[in-house]
Amino acid sequence: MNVTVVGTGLSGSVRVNGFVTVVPANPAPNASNLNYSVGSGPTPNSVTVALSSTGQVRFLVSNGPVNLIADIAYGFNSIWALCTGTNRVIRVNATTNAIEASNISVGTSPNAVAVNANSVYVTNTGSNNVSRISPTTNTVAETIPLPAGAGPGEITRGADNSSLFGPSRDMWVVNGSGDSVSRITTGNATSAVTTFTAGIGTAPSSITFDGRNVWVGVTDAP
Amino acid sequence: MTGAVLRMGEDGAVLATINLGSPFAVPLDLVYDGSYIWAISPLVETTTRIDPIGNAISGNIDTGLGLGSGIFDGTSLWASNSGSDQVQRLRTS
Repeated sequence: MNVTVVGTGLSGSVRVNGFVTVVPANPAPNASNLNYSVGSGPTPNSVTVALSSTGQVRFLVSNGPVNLIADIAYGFNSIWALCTGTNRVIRVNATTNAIEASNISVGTSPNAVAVNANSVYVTNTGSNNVSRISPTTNTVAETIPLPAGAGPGEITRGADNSSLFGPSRDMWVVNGSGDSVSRITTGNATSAVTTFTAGIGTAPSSITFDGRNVWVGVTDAP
Repeated sequence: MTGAVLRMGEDGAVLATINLGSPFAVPLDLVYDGSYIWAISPLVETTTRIDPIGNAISGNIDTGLGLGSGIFDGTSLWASNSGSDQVQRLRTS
């Protein structure tokens, strides 16, 4: 799974550096999966961890609290899981639990995944772009560039923009490092990106859609 | 400096800003349940319900440290809590 630290909290009265270890159960090994520091941007990493005998995974934080994200998505009767360390996506059949594709190469440091009517979208924090995966071929059909330094994070489906070419929806992305939000207009061979900065504030971290408007969580309002 | 939730139109315009009242109220995840927006802010141990009609906070739930991503199943909001090793179910009505 993809695990990301997106902000450190307080320990006592000060912010602190630390690390995260993901394990099936206690005791934890003397190792870490992510190392975060105060003031750094989103810190992602890919973690491979077995389930415990009771089906659990533990996230152990050395100093916290921290904001921690681990992302997968469902669509096309499949689970789509991100592997940040190896820049790839794994597709698992939700009926048979079989791995249907284990090496879908995407951009650098994939962070979040969402499903549209006909594609799977992955934000890549390290390469400032979005990979559009075809569920038919299990390959990247399009790499959608975002502004330099955007640091894209969460992604969600937006309004319906279906056309004669078939059903489709806009996709919306929060750019945590770029202090902006991008709208990706899909449905054509080449997606169109519009990026908004006015009134966004600092470090947008989360996003959802209510059927009419987009809602964005930010660290600091303007 | 305060964490907040923004409401944006399809044209990218910010239609409303709902301040969450603390610099550490950073919404780690936002969930729409069909009626309300829920903002999960683990650093302040709170999940906030926002009424999209009035663009206002309509409730706060003390959910403790460590609450992570949430999802709505049609009845309840479910969220994992790495601080308490639990999955929490929040009644949304």
